[in-house]
Amino acid sequence: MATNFLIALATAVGSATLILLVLHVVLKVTMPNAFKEMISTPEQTVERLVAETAKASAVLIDDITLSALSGKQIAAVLDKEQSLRVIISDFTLPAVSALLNTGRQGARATFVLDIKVPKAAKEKALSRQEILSPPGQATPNLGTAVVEKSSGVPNETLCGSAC
Amino acid sequence: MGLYILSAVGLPFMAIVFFAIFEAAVSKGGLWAVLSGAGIDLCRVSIGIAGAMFIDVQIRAAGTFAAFVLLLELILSAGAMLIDRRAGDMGIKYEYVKAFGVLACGIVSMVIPVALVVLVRCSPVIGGH
Repeated sequence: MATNFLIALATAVGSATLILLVLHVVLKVTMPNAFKEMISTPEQTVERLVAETAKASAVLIDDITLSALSGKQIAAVLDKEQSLRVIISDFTLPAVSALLNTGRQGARATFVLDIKVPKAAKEKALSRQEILSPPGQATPNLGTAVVEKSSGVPNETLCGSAC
Repeated sequence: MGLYILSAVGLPFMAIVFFAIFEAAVSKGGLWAVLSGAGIDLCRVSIGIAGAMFIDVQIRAAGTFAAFVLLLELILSAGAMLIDRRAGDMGIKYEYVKAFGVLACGIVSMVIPVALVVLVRCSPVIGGH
């Protein structure tokens, strides 16, 4: 019995070695680059996730606060690659009106705009208007604008500015 | 004998190969993740094979022997799981080493029942048939 079992074990190990050797050779020939992949450690995984989260996160600001901030202050709030999300609820505010360029005074709604702030805003002292509407761009900086929630605003108001 | 091994081990093994290729085609995970998954599947299937191989084998102390083989299968499965989940802690740096380690456990655990079935059935002293 013991001899049989030892023979079985040796057969198993031998056949496993043979199968793995053949698989190794086949994969080495067909996909040599795959053998360079390293196992990511938990620390590396956490660092990657933190970096992705920081990149994906945006600074949320409401329109009243935005009106009170200067361009330098807006740039100071933002880190690299971060976008600015503006919650707009009052279109009568001058900053919002300039941002949206709608000319529709008195319209009221609540929606969120994603705005990519230019990298130069951190280096130079740009004005608020320059941050929100970079030079050489005819329309306000709403290229990545995403309307998350809107109510009571005519479509042309949104499309006229954000689209 | 050949048909018995083919039905008990050959077909499950071929099914796992089929599903591994299929998963490699559609999965977002890399090649090594697919191979590691196939190794774990081999361990699972081999536990079933070890349970089935003692259904009509008449040997002395069959219960003890069956428990021994089954526990060996479970230990190999645990080893495969350990390598799969704790490869970094075990000092394994490359993905392919991890995948081959898991596959080695899977293949060994798959072949042990086959070899035992062959040896037990062929032996005139302890064989059941």
